[in-house]
Amino acid sequence: MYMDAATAVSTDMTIDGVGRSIPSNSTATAEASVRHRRCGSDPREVLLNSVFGCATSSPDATRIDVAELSHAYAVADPRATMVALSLIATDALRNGGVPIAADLLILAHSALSGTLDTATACYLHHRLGMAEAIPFSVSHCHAAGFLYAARIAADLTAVEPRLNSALIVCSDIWVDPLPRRHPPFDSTGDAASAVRLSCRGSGWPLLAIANGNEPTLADPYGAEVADDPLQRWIDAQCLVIDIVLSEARLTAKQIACCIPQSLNRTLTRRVARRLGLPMDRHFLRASELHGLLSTADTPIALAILNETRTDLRSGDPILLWSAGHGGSVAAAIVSVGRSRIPTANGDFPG
Amino acid sequence: MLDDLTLKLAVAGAEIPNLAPIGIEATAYHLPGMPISVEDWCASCGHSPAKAEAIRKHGGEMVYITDEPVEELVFRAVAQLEDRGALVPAEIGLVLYAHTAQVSVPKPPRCMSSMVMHRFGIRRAFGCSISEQNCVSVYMAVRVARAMLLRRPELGSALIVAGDVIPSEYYREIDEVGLHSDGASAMILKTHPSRYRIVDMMIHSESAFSDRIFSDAEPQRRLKGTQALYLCAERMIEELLAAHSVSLHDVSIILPHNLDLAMWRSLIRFVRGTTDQLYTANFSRKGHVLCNDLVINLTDIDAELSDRLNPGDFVLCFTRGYGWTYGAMLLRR
Repeated sequence: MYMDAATAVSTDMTIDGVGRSIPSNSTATAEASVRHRRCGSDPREVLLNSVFGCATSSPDATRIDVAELSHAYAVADPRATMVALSLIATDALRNGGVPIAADLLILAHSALSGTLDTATACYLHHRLGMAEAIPFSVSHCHAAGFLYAARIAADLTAVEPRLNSALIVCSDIWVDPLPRRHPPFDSTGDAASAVRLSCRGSGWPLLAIANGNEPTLADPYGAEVADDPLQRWIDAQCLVIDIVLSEARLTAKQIACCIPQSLNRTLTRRVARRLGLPMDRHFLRASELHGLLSTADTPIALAILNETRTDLRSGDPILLWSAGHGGSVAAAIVSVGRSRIPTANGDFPG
Repeated sequence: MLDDLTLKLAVAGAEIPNLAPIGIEATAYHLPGMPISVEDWCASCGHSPAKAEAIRKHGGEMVYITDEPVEELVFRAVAQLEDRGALVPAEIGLVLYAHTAQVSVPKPPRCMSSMVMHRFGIRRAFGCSISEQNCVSVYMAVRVARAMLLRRPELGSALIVAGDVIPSEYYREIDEVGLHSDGASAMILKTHPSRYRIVDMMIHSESAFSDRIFSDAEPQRRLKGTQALYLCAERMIEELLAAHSVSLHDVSIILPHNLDLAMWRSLIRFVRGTTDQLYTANFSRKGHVLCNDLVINLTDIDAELSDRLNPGDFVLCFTRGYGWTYGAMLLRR
């Protein structure tokens, strides 16, 4: 029983700017990346362990050899919190000249928020002074989370005339007992990004988005997990890419540059082969620098592309695709705008 | 006193052009095991009988508690829809999971919406969780689902599931006015529904109060939060009804969140409604099941108040969430 269809929407939204915050710019080996951040004195650990069990002793269920994973990973900084990273990323966006005021404030995340008894989205709503925005979270799609939040923002703004803009804050901090390794594919870092989208703005047009969920990948710990999860993921990923290309009236050959998710090179290569998209048209710089950055992965890669790929011309179509928890798969087409969008890195205090 | 309340509601009101009507087709809920009396709960947690008495004064009598994982409760709620023939997997294009407690989720990388799809044979859906509006999250999920169904009619129907399991008895009590119960619910939204059409809805956040729980050491904050509730409720209900030329007297039933009956009786008078309009049966027997109160009440009024509800009648739903979020929704039968 596999995913057999997905939907795409065209959008009139533009990506007006991206701010980011990564706890550490240093890279680490795959071995180091699987270390869990411990918070032994934190009372949350007791509660989380009571709910989720202890993750540090969970078996390494990764079915793909570590060598096949992306080779660099962000190292978690024990001082980081979701709120702190989110505010730094948002400040970076604001300092880049992008107004953060928006009608929707969407927190996209998969890890738990910094505190267990308040809502981080509402707290950011307060701290950022966004009184007129509607705060909520779109969660549990992991690295596909930005493209799920963007789809929801596109649909809400298309249908409700009073809604015209969204600030999407992607933020994840993985703490015990939540696993940093997510079988069968990835090991994930901590990071935050802040992206402002507006209807018919001056940034890079977000032409189309497609999303779907492969049900057999819903529970990688479960007894009913797909026999060949990598193949299932490739099939589902290629399905949404085909759909988004069709929605944007493009073919894979017309794609100037592809930003794949940073999680797994085998997945990237096999999707590229299936699409007929040469690897030299893939932008892998972000994954080489930072590895997989959880929900913030796609926006940060787009920001780094914006800063480094000066050869791209206005109107060039960029394919973004990403996969995440629960077999979530997403793809989007972004068109390079007339000028570079403001992107900035907010330094985490060293 | 209330000078820093925002009360800027313009954005939160949805003014959707008159497209295909979207609404609620079917609802179901699951509460685990046998309910426990507030006296027994207080005794088991070492609280004094005075605490139980205080909770009873606010309308709370029972609490549902389980050790089961939240996904099992959600599956049982959805299974009820399946058993009644209300769930047609091939017609579901959207599965959203709403929850209040952050830990009311399967352990990552599990994903509730995908687990529901897998369990019930749904294989062409968009799925994710909608949360951080706390007990209003289910309203936000409805709002998102409505927009997505209007935008892409080929999605068919939306399955919105909600669930919450309180992780520790420390978190179960709500300021001596009630107890959080564990439970789950499910509802199906579709175009041209046979039960309730969503006329309109509003969501608003007073996030200045979101940074910490009110404590006894902060009586002024608590007072301010209560005043904010009354003002937000009045403004939201007025604006929502006025936008559709409906007066509160035209509303047959008001569905509250099932917490603090004493406050609700006062609030109803404040917004110039009558206590006859307020559905109160579930304060005592179901209690506050976080995100699930809306679906629990909608399910129960269909079973119990069918003689009072006729086609064309209005049902007004209003909820406050922790973190001072507010949701209002006008339904038409």
